[in-house]
Amino acid sequence: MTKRAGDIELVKVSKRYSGAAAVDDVSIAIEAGEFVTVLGPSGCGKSTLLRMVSGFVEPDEGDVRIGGASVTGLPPYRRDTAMVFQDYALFPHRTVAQNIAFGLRMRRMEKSQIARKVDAMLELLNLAGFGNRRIGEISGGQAQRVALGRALVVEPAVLLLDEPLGALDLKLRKQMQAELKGIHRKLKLTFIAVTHDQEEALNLSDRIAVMNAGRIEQFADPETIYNRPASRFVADFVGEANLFDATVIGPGMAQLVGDGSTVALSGDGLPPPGSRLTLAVRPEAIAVAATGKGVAAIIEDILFSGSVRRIVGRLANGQRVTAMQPAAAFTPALGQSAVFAWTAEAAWIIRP
Amino acid sequence: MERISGGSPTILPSQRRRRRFALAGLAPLVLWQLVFFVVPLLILLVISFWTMRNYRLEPGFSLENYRAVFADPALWRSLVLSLETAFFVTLACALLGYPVAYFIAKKAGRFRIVLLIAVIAPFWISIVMRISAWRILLGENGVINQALISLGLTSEPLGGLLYSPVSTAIGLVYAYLPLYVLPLYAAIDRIQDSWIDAAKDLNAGPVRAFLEVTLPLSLPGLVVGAVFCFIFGLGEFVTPALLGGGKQLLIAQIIQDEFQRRQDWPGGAAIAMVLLAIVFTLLLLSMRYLRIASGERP
Repeated sequence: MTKRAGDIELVKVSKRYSGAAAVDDVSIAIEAGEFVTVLGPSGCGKSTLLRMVSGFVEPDEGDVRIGGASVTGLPPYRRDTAMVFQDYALFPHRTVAQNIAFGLRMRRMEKSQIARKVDAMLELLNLAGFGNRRIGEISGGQAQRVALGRALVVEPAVLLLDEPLGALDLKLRKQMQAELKGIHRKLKLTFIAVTHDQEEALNLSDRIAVMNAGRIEQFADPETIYNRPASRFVADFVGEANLFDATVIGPGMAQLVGDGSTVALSGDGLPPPGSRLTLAVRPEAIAVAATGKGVAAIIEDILFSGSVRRIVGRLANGQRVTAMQPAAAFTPALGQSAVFAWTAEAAWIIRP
Repeated sequence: MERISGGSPTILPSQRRRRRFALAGLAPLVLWQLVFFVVPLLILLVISFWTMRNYRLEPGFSLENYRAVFADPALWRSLVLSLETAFFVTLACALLGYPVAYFIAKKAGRFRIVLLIAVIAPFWISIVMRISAWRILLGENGVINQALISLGLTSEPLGGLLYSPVSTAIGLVYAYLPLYVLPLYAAIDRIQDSWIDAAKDLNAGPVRAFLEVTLPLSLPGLVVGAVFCFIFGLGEFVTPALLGGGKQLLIAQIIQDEFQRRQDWPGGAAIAMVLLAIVFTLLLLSMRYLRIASGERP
């Protein structure tokens, strides 16, 4: 089989359903061989975006390109993509091997060659010996792998995964994450996955596109997404974040709105005094002390979970602040006043 | 898909009591069926071995009646004609019913319930009235001939429309179409759209996706509908009596003739038994198929 460029480009695509935009003027370029996850809450348009690449949804506006060539208007069976469906969509009247062979048969491959490729795929997915099972006779994890194999065996330019691990229990999900990543590394195909599980996105992807209300809020590698979120939404959706509205009061200084506490800011090109901005601080970057410099809060809740302790306090402006620190660190008592402190570098500035 | 696992689970006494209670609820129906279906059938079976002498039933054990069923060419012809008619009606119902069932299950959206009721609605009117209406449509001075003449498509009315095996078949297709549409609808409704999408995603065009996924998964519905149509069609009496014209008789008309006009009860009973044997064989075969299709190993 000839090598094809698996790079994907969506150019200003939009899709409206009865007036409401499911996908709103989205442009994104994905490189060949990349593992990209589209992450967002349900109804954010991420599935619509995926189905635009596969051909099940036609954009109202914009262009979809695979390997540099426009595929807009082409039906799914003329696109070099393969999809792992959310419910796997395995053919119930076919065996495991027949399911995997399906795409090869549709491409009119020779019988002996199909048999060879199916066997190799069963081997790759640790399904050897399960070829003759009926779909009703395999477990959820196996079904997931059969769905993956059925799509991978046709060697598509792009593999699309719609909530691929959503139906599995936690332990199996962890295991399949590792397997999925291993397969991607081995095959070097372009993978585009859609998920609402931020941990899955962080674990799997080379780059994550965070989607909200039909738009891509940020498209970057997992570390950037986590450490330097581009918007309030990203900071809040990916991981846990304390978001503080603040006003710049001087060089490297800001005051929390409605609270009066001052906090240090770092970085160049800070907005001039009087500007409003939002600070995002991860709970693990906050230390709690009895006294000292920082933001004062009344301790409302303490949750011990083995290695760490979550401490929730309420600021003078009524806002809640969450810190997560080693269980061995200082622990205030409930109802007591304590100081929540973080370094200037830990406060990521989100401009409105 | 349901699978029955091997081995019988242990039944608790409370469960047994509940099961006995449920069975007690079935008792009236079972009794009714016994008295008014099974017993008459057994009587019919016994009579089929008796003989007729001087217009009187004579008990005994004779296979003469069964020999006659296969030896009498007229009987044989109408049995074959009945099988042919039932086969044709089944085929026509399948071809006409499939698009209807597919549309209701997959494309009708919120009109689904309305359309399903429309499919069932003819059952609210007696079959005799509905079939009589076809006489008005198909007759020599009927609606269809009148229309053809006034459109200038023909100068003479078409005579063969009514009182022929063709008109019987038309009436039967009309009468049984809902019987075919309903099981087909149920089967097609269970086919997930994502299965069809998956086929298309794996490079199957619309036709191949239909042949590879939709059609094989509709098979249970096609089989159930065919069983309904074929079995009812094989034993149908009213429609051929009203539309068939009496020149070429179907097997049910022959049976009626034996009992009523010729007063040959044993002869009629034997034909009925042969018909019943055919029907039972078909039922067993289709049930066997459905059990395998639903995932039970034979």
